Amino acid sequence: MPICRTGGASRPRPGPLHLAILCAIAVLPRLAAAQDAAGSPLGIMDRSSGLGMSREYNPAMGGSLIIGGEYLSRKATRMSLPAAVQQGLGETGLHFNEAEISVSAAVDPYFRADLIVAFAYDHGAFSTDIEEGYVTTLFIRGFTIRAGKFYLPFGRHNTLHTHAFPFIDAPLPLVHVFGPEGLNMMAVEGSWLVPLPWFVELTFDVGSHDNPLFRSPEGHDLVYGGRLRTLADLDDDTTLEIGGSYFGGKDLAGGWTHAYGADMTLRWRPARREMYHQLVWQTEYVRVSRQNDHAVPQPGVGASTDEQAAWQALQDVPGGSAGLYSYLAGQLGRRWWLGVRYDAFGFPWGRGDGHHRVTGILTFLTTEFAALRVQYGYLFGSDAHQVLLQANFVIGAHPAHAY
Amino acid sequence: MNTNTNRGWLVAGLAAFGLVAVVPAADAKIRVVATTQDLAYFARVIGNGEADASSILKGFQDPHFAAAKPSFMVEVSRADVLLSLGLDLEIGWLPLIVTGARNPSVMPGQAGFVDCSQFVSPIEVPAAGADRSKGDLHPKGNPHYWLDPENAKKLARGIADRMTQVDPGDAAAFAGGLAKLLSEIDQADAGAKALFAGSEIPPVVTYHVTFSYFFERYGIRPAGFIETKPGIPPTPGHVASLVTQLKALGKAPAIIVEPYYDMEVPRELGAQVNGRVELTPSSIGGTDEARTYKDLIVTVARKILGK
Repeated sequence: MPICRTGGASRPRPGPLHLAILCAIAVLPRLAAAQDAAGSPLGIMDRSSGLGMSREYNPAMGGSLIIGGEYLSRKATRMSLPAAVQQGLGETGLHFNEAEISVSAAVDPYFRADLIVAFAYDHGAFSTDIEEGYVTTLFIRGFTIRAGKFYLPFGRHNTLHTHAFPFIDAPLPLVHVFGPEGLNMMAVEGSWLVPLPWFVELTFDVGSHDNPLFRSPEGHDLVYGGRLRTLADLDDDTTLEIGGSYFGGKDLAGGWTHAYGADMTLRWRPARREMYHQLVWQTEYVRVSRQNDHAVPQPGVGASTDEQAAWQALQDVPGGSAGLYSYLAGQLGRRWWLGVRYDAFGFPWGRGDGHHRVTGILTFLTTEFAALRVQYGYLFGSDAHQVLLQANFVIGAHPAHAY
Repeated sequence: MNTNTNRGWLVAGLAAFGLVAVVPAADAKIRVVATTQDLAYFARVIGNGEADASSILKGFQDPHFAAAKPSFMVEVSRADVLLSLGLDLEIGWLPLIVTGARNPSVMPGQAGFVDCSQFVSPIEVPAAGADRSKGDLHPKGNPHYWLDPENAKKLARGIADRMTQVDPGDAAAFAGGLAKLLSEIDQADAGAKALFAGSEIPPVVTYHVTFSYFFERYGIRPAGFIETKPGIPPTPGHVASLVTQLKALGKAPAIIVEPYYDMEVPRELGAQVNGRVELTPSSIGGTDEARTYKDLIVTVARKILGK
């Protein structure tokens, strides 16, 4: 190191300490000069992001992972089950059900944005979907406007993501009416918190026709509807929520299809022990009516899957058909839940397409971020037994779940 | 009906549906909604008769595990000021209530939204950041800061400032209320110090890390926690090691348990180590003894000492 060489034969030989001091004297002014020129040596005191790549405004990110297994009896005759029942059932085997990535952030003082991307893998087929992606206003008193792609507010269950389902699978009537993906489409929504002493929320939606039930042959037709939701506190621990929903739009036959829903949720959550005990009784009824039930020719081989699904919906959901589910779920302790559900579709009975099922579920939670569940179901119409296992994990920032 | 009558009916109808804002009277009280009973108590005392203060949670509820009940949205929709503890304590339910209330006056970033953690210096901030393998840690620090009277004074001043900013017309009343509250907090601190002075403090076990700020203020070193990690329920193995650890101290511990936890494990532990199990409020309203801030602090001291 040239700057440390002091040389000179007549001088006494420097010891190690002396050498170190000489080096420090020589080096420090140069380091100080470098700092003067470029701020702190490592840039740690800088208060700007320099290249504009700050992480401070990154959105909150989270993810969920659902894996599981399924056993379904009567495998040989599975194809004899009605299409809507098949949609609600998987295949015997192990499944990678779904993974979700969610990102959320305030856009500015006026809007919030949420994006949820779902990944699925089934027998070698990988698929990805924008499950929800929408912006919500933050600045209008008493009113919220939301625009984007999202689960429309038809009843209670339709707005839930898979990891938040109270049972491993969705209730049959909802799968039957709206398909396995639920009523989810591009829409604009206005929701109003009605200024009353108790909770009353009125929501209006105008959506695209992106659902088999409302697949209009005219591309420009829209779906209209909304929901009225009210909740009363019966006491400090108990609430009763009652809701009514309607969505209507033109179907593949060119006539109007109307979907009506009514729901009721009674929830007991003792304030002093809310992490240990809870009891929920929820019932939802859905009915479909059609302006006309005239036959539509089956799409040809070259038709899109959307068109085929719409044609199938016309066959499976005739006007006047209805269904319901009702479940009772209780939290037995901090980590255990037990639930039982009855679900049915094809009312009124006797038309030949009715099915009903009873289901029991046991859930073990390590924390609110991880659940192991086992579920048994018996499908009366088809005499089919179903056993499902699920492991459900949530990581990262996770938005609060609705009440 | 004449035109004026028709217009009157129209305005009344629109007002009934909230389409026309009804202008409050000039002397209307400021409406403060707080997430917890402690913050509501502070706002009520500072309000000095000029503020209506209510809390979303009762003192015996666990602020970590509350639900986003829609009826709370109705309450927040009418608020002029929303007080929250912050440090992500209410993250599981408050964001839904704030957005569901559709009240721009109390949206984050507005004068009406007060994250009270800004007034204090948090402790137990995870040095390596949050990681759920270490339990349900709060990345920005322990949020139970109101249990230190010194923090309570900072909190009181901060809340009073913000209430005055939102309702400057009642500044004098708020200043008077603040003086009363500061005096009460001083009495609370003096009461706790008097109890601890000259008393032998037993080893103290708590369920959760709720009392860290209180312990730090009065020089108490916790002897253990019933949870295995913050937010993670106890296991038999953890309780067994806690028993060994407490027996080695050679003194009967005080096991203080917040009102929202199950008493089964604390009682089992107490029986094994000859400990005294005490149901202890962590908030105003947590138990019948804790009706004021002074009561709360003094009651926690009494429960620790068994007095």
